[in-house]
Amino acid sequence: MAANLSYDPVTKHVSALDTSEGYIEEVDALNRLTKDLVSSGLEVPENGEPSKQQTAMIQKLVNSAMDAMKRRAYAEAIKNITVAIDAASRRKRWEAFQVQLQELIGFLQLRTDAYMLSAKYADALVDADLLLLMTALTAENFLRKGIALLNLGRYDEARVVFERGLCFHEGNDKLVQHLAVSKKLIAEENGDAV
Amino acid sequence: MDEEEMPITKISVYTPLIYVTIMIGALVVFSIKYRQKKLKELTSRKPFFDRNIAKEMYFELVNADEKPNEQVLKAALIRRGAECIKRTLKLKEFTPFMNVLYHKGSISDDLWERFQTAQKVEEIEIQELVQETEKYKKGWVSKFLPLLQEVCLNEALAKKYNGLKDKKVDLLHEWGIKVNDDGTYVFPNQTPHKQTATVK
Repeated sequence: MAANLSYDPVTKHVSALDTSEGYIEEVDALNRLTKDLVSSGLEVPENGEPSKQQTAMIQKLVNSAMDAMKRRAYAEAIKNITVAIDAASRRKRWEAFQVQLQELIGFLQLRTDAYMLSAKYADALVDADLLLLMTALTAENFLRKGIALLNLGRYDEARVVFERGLCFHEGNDKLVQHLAVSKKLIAEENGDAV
Repeated sequence: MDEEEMPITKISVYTPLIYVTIMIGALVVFSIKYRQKKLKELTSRKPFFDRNIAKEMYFELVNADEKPNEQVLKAALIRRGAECIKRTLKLKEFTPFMNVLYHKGSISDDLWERFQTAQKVEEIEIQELVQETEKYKKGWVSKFLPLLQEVCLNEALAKKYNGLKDKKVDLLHEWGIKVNDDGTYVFPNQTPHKQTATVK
C-alpha cells in the first residue's frame, strides 16, 4: 500500500498514516463516500435525487419535534430536532444540496427557538449564526442571533446584529424595537441611563 | 572619372555557414536556458492553494501494489473532483477582485501569476477528471460533473454544522461565561438582559 494510507480489503476502509489534520479529514470524507457508494448498491451514482425513504423518516421526527414545541416540552423538541439533523446528515453526499440546505435551515430555525425558550442562549447563538450564513435575507434570523446575544450580556454585539439586519430589512418593527432595547442596555451598562 | 578598383577579399565558403551555425547555436542555448529558468521559477513558486490531498490520495490508491476495491477508487475520484470544483468555485469568486487589485497595482506580479497558474491547473484537472471518469463507466461523465458540485457543497455544509459545538465552547471561553450543571450561565461582570424574547 502507498506511503500515507493503509487499506483494509475486508471493510473497504482507508486509514491515514499521515496524521496531519487536513489528511485525516480527507480520509474521513473518503470513507464516508465509500460507505455511501457501497450502501447505495449502484455501480456509479448518477443523479442527486433525495431518498424518499429518508425524507419520510426525517419528516416524522420533525413532526414529533413540532408537537413537543406545542406542548412546551422544549428539551424533547431539541432532542427530536437533533436526531432529525443527524438523520438528514446521513443522506448520501451526492443528493441534491438545495434539498439538504433547506432541510437544515428548517431544523435550525426550530431548534434555535427551542433553545431560546429553554434559556440555552449559547446554543441558540451558534445555531442562529449558522442560519445567518445560510439565509441572510430572513429578518427573523437577525432577531434570533441578536436576542441570544442580548441574553448572553453581549449588548454591543447584539446592537451590531440588529443594525445589520436593518440594512437588509429596513424599518422592520421587531428589529427596530430590539435595537432600541440593546442601545438602552448599553447606556445602562455605561452608567448613562436616564 | 576613373573608377577606383575595389580590392576583392576572398573568404572561405564555410564562413557564412559558421556564422549561421553560431547564431542558431546561440539561439538554441538561450532558448534552453530561458525555458529552464522559467521551469525553475514555476516549480519553486508557492502554489495559490494548499496541497491537494484528495488528488494525492487518489493517485496513492490507484498506484497501490494491492489494488483497492473499485468503489473505493470511484469514491476517491469523486473526492478529487469535489476538491477541483471547490477550487474552481473559489477561483471564480476571486477573479473580479483579483482583476481590480492587479490593475490598480495593489497585488504583486508574483501573486497574479500564481493566481493565473492556479486557473490553468484547474482547467487541466477537469480534463484529467473527464478522462479518468471514462475508465470506470462509459458515458458517466455527463452525470458525474454535476454530482461533484453537490458533493462539494454538501461536504462544506456538514463541516459548518459539525463545527457548531466547538464554536460554542470557544465563544463561552472567550467571553468568560461559565455554564452551571443545570445549564444556567455565570457571567463575568455583567447582569445579562432579563428578557427571554423569542421569535414568533
